[in-house]
Amino acid sequence: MTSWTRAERRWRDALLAAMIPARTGEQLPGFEDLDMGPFWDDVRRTAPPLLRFALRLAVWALTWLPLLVLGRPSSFGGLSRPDQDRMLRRVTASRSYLLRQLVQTVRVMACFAYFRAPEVRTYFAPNDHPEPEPSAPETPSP
Amino acid sequence: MNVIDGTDLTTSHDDDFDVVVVGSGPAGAAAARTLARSGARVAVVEEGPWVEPGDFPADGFSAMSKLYRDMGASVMMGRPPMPVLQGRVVGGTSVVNGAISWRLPKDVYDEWVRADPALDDALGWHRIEEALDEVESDLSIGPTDPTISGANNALLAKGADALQLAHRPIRRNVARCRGLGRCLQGCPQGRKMSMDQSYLPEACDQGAVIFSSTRVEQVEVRSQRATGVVAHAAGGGRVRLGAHTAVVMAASAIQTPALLIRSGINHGPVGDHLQCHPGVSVAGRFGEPVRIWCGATQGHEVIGLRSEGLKFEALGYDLPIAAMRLKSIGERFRDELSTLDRWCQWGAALRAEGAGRVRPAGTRTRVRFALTDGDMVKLRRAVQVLGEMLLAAGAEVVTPGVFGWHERVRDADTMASFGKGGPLDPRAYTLAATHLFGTCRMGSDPRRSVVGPDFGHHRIRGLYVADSSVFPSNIGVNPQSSIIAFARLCGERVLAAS
Repeated sequence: MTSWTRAERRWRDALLAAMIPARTGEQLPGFEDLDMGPFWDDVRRTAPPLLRFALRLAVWALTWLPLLVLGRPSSFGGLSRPDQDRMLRRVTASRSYLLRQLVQTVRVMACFAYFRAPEVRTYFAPNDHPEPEPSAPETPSP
Repeated sequence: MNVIDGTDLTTSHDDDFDVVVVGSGPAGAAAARTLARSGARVAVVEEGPWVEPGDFPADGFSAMSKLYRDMGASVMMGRPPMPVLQGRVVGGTSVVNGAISWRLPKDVYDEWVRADPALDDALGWHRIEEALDEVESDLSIGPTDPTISGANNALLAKGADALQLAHRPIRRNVARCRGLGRCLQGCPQGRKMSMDQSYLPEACDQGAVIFSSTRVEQVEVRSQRATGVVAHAAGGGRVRLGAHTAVVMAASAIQTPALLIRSGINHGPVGDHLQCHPGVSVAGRFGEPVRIWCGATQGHEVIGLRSEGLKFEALGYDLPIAAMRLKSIGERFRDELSTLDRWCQWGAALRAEGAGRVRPAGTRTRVRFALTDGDMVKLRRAVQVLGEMLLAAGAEVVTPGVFGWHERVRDADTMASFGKGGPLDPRAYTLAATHLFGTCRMGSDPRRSVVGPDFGHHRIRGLYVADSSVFPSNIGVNPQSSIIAFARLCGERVLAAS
């Protein structure tokens, strides 16, 4: 599958920025505060084609759904932040399973991307770098 | 470890062994070890790469792309579609599971024997018990150490106590676990006794050879006898491995039947009768940090409703998976992320009655599965109990994660009402399929089963199936120990037949 076009990248990034918005003065970054280039390079290199296809389909659909969902002749990126929020909430609450899955697909990738950023991982401090083996013998678990 | 890396195999490679084992997960590793210890020349062929524990990635995305089949995006189609999580690495799913170790329940074995008494004649409960004892000893299986268990597991115990449901620390195959919460990304310190840290090195010490990054494409059959496999190495080379004695299939209840059908071995109900344990989770926010990415990944379980086909476990996840489950979006999601360390997630595994089937589709595999109406009632009960336990343990708010019902629940009465008023439409739930069974099931009747009670294929001599495909049904508990015990028995049967 070909890589994202410039327009698709813009659409995708607008969706991700709306998923986890940036807020001034807060330590936890938003999507717009992070460099996601390395993540998307890895997705292109390692993600299975079906997953990349599903993500691209979701980005296209959600970008052009504002006309149907909000009655606005605008792309998703052209909406104000409150309208973006409203549109995503409406799609998430849709009775259509497929529509709900569009948002879910982008959300899954958004979470993978966001929590891969070193700034975010440092904030939550998981055991990314466990201490080396202790030299003293330990009691075996029962 | 005698590992031949398939990425280095750029040209044709031919070799001969006594036994070729397809798959290096719990079944393949256990069968290979049993066979190699008896002096057989064994090759183990694994589609995934060999990865040293120090190279297991910390973050969820990298782990899934490096260690999981299809990055965890394989889907079982049906209502609803369910992702299927399977390891694709030397050691198979044992590398990326929660190390939960259950013995095969006697009541499940009795069900199998009632349906086909010949199984008891060939297997015998006593021998299965012996094999399970050996597995527990080999893999240092024991209850989770409370000093490394962590808050998530302790809260589940509290919630179960409040509801008066039987619970206990999970028995796990770990050695001196330090509670890093990294089981699902592969233990970076090699403390989990996954197959890459236990049976496979032992098999290699006895002369077994592992072909990693090498995908078996066909089982060779001549004159109704399995004679070897043909595989494709990641480096581009064609690999042909001859098997003088046997080919042992241990590639999972999805890949094993698909490969058999692809090889023209489609006698009997191969690929049919797929069963699984669909899993559902519920999240709750507490007043204090829980940090579900720390402590034993899955260290406590509630077993009080096992007779209803329900088992509950604490779930530890890396950050992205923990966040995905919060279900909110935009500004609200942002708010919830700032309290991510206070969210707890517990899951239920269902012993579903539903069944499905596996079929090859080109180079991929198509899997279908459907829940029954009875499964939906069970699922609804699972969500209700999970929510009630979370609230009883002190959660401020619970998110059942079920479309068409309350997004947030703060009181026990509302949660209890889910048991009667919760949706029964499968598409309202977010499920994941774990533990797959039955697609090459064992039995005495060749019309109703694929392998006999000796694990041998009914029609093709020298072809054995060692993985959970042979289980006549799902078992309602985590199957790793049972799979290993059965694979050992399979190895013994291969030796006896040769």
